Amino acid sequence: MSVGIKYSDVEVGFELPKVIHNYQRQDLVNYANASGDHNKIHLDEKFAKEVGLPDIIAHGMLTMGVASRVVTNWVKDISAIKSFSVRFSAPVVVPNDGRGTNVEFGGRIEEKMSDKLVKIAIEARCDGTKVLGRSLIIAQLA
Amino acid sequence: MALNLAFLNRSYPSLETFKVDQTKIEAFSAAIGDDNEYIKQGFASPTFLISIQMSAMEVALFDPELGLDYSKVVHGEQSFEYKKPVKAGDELSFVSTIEDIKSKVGNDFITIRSDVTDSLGNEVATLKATLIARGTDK
Repeated sequence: MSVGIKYSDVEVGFELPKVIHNYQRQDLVNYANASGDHNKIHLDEKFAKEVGLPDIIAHGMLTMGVASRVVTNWVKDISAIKSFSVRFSAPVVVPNDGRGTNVEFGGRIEEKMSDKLVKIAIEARCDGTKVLGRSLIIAQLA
Repeated sequence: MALNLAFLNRSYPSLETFKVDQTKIEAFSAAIGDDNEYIKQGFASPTFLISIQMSAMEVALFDPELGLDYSKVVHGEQSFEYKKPVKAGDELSFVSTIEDIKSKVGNDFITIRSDVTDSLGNEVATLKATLIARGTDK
């Protein structure tokens, strides 16, 4: 595998191309099946409301998965990804309105480290609200 | 309800190995919209291992003695450290350890670390999940 992005070509403050992801109810069903997480707060509207949520919420791990694409779409090389950590700060609510919910994901190089590693701060916003708190990917560039 | 502190530092080795295959890799990448070339080459998306960690943790999480109300659980934090990419054909073992248990403003927090190795004993990744059981004082 080859890495297209060179360490020497990027600087602190560089912004990675954004990813916009639309969440529909069916996406949560698909993610539940693929991940094995069938918690009813992601699948059953009546149940979600009974436990005090405004509506069905997306799996945090679906959001983390989509967030990873900010970096993988950019470096293309899976072996470049060395670590990935997130805090989930707000739920992504997915109403059954046929339009779904959009979340915008971005990444910014926060630090150039040794060994051609870069620390990338990941952001995810839904209607202006941050749905991820402090979130970082460490990637090794060419 | 406070969690049972006796569970702190308990370890749960996976009882069988988890075989990674292309079908599972593709189902996961499709669910998160990852259509990068490495998927076709048999490599999994970065967060793929969560699908195994979830089931590996269930033994502990569903133990009634722990006192976790799973209906009130939300995911607080998650991290992955990668030693090598996960690929089709891997046979992975998990050892999941309850690393931290605490209560804060009426909510219960539990952190589970999972150390993942391949069939040769090589380290593949370490995952940490912090789950929050929301208190009743909402």
